[in-house]
Amino acid sequence: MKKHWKRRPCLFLCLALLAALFPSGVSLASGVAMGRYVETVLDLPDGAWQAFAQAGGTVYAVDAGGETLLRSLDLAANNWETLPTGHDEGASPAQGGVNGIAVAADGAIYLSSGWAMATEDGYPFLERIQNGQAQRVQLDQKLYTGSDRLLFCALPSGGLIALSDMEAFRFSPDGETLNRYAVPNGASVAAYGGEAAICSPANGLITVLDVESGQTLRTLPLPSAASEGVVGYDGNGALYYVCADGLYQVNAGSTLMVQIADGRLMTAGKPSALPRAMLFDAQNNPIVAYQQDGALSLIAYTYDENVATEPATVLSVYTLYDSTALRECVNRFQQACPDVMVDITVALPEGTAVTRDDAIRTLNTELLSGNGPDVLVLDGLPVGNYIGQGVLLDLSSAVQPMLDSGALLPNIASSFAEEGSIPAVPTRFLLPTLWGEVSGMETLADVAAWAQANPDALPLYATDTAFLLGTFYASCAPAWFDGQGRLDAASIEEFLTALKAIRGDWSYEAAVQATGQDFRAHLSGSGVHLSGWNPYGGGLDRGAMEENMGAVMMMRGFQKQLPSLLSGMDNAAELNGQMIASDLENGGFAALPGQAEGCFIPTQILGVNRNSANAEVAQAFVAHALGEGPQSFDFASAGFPVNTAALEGLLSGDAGQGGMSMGGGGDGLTWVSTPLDEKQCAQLRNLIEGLTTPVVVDFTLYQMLVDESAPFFAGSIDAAQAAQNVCARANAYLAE
Amino acid sequence: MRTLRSSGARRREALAGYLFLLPSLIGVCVFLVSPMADTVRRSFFSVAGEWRGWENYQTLMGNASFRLAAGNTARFLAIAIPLLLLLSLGAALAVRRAPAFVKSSFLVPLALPVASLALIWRLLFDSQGLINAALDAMGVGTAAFLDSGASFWVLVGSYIWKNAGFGMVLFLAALANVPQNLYEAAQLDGAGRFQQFCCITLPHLYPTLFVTAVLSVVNAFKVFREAYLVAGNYPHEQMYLLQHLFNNWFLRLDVDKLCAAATLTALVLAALIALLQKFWGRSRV
Repeated sequence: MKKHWKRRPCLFLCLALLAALFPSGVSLASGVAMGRYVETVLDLPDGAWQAFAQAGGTVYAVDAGGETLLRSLDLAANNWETLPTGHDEGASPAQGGVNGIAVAADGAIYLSSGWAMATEDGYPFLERIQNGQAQRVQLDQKLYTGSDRLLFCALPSGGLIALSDMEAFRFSPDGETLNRYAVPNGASVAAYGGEAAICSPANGLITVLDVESGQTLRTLPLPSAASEGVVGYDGNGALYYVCADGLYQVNAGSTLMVQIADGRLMTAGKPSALPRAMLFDAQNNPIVAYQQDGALSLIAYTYDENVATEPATVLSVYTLYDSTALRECVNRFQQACPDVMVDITVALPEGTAVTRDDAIRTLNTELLSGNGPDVLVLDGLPVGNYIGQGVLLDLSSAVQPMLDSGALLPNIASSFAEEGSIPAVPTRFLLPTLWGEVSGMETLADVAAWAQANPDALPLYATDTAFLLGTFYASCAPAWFDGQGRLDAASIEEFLTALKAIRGDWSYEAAVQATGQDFRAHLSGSGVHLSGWNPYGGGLDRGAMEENMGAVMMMRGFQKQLPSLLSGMDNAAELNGQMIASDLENGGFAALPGQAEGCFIPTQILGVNRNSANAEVAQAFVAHALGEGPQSFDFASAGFPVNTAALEGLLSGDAGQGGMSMGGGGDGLTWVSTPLDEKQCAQLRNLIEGLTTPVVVDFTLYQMLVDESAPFFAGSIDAAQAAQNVCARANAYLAE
Repeated sequence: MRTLRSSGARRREALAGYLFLLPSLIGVCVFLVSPMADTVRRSFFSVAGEWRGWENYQTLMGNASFRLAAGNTARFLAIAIPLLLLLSLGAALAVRRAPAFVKSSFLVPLALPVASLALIWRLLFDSQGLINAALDAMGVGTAAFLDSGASFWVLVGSYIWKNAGFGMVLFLAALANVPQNLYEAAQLDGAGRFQQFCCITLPHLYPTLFVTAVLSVVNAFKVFREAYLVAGNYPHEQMYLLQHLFNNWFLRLDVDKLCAAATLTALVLAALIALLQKFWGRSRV
């Protein structure tokens, strides 16, 4: 008896524990959440409208020439009337293209342009139009915004607020400074009643301050470090903020920022669409003016309770490295398929402490468990292994029709095709090229021989050997392997010997001394973190900094050639008006000489998880990504398009790529990127048609090469020993 | 009547016992037995789920990296485990009557975090580390401790240094259980110290030797952590162990080979442990 009253409670406790391990599985009632903001594109009169502003319930629009001014009392009805501008050449800042407008409470309209900010004396001016008369208003402060436009708004109480890099200013209607606000890095400003909201993405804040006293009333943290958008007040004083992450609302007097629309389901989430102004209709629904394809469009947001809050189908897309081209493609796909929500997972966002191996390990765990993302962007992942292990779905049904119709470049799109199946398809590619004195440069040995014959010419450069090795990796790596897939020591030895000859005695420190330009320090001081060579990382990782440095050295006459991973027309450098390729004797560009021929780097490689629950949608996404629309965007960082129509548009100059300017160095060096001329386009077309060898960068092999060749470049061992060391270490890896 | 009641009571007792064991058993099954069974299952299939039979094992036997890693691991176990047992037993005999702080000091390496240990490795054995600096100062010349065959001995030394204290503690506990009157009787009979050790001490230590050996084998596989932190996925070939290979195969999604290798390794270790149990599993007194 005594034992039983001890044992029974223990037994019950044990059973209770068991019951906790296996819950009864009562299912909760599930329902689909309804209601979200939907987009409606508003009609606009024909014309290239550059700026919108709103005062009261009236919306104003101006064209780039500043000659046509429109006013609408009812946007929904597309009722616009023309206003007399009293356009005055002398007063108008239209020479540079009007891109700013503000309307004061007294009906005065202020026009501005980026050109107006670059006056000789540095003081910008505005054109004030009132009662059909135009008048020039000179501001008494120099404003620096790092933007191509004056960032300003009109105050309900009269006057203007304009932003500069270190502070914001309040001006009288005649341009006199009335007040200064210590709000740096402002990118957007709006005013309501006696308060103004200034958005500073660099500081991650929206500062709401009292216009009269300058006192900060409240600060609102921005949704993410990367968000950059515009602010606006509705008729009730509620503050709105729109950025790539979505549309946010802060009620009057509140500090709580609530997301009311998800950026993934909005035009705002599209990298090619930049929000420029925020307006409101009579019901205080937000209307955002987006700049897309060089012109502004108006998109209204209204709440529809009959639409599901989130689309039922969620397509997960996984990528190691973030990409604006991918985000553009995703956003376009969502607009084309509003029933699908595409969720992008970036495994290695900027500044992360996660390593590539960690990310791959996590991904593989998911794949092995039968889960994992639907679509994989295979850049940086072990593509060959994923294909060999049968993890990827055959994409023939989506891709083959496009290949058969000639919509895709067959030599590029078929990079991973095997035995009638297409497990993965690259949607972009990079082209290793050499710019400058390229005559007679067909092999790596030719470049090395030229370097030895011209020891003072410094044919090539690199800030460090890792970048030099990376630059030539793409054009040489295919030649390093023997028939059994093992490294050939003789090829590696030849490679290292040639690179050492090419590099000569160049050192970064000596170049800094000679040119007076320390790019590393400059970029580091600007907060740019330079990681290792990585063609999938885009931008600086790919070696853009090296190209900048090389371009500077070519201009100084220290260098005769510039190696690059050409990704788009923006790579064609025009330094201070001098086209590098054509300005030099025997100038031009060619495929980067190497130990192999016809090499290219496939990028944005898409694959679909075999176990995907949304296989059809995933394949539709892949087909969409290969379409002309998504392929005609962001060549500079994403790469050349695989779509033939998009490539033709790029080569024929219809792609609409803009120029990019960059200041560098103390003597006012300016670098402007421009498209290639006709002859160079034909040359590029021939190069692309002759591509035969896809090179998937093996980061493990590359790192082994860098590590084991370091003593050779330092002079402590010879090339043969270095090659043997590389092979000894790499062959164990390759034998796995 | 009495017999029937007894068997019924025994059954009830047994049932109660199993019920108390059940949560733990479920945990072991879910987190240990089931994954092991799945690993064995996967070793006969491809990653995509196609039946391969013995093909994965055949591929494994022909894989040069597996042979290298298995050879290095077997060599490490064959050298490091006996050395560890000898040194930790010797330390236990030496410090048996020493003050407590002396015994505790042997456990300090065990408490060091792995990352700290990796840092110590680099500080000491890097090509520009402290040891090479000292050798250079003496005019002896430097050595590539981590980039040559010496890396294997660095691995062995690090393993013994870290785990000797643990074995010593186990042996100390076992030595404390040896009856003192046996030593006195042996002394009276004229037995020397060596004879006392071989005939009295050692037979009492066999079970502890078995436990220490098994635990040392388990700890031997943990030396991969330091090797990985210091030299990455692909160290010098002398340091290239089975865990390196498993880790790399997982990254490349070669899970079929990985499971086959894991199954083979488990079988080999199970055989080794069974052998140890046969010879050392029972006390000989």
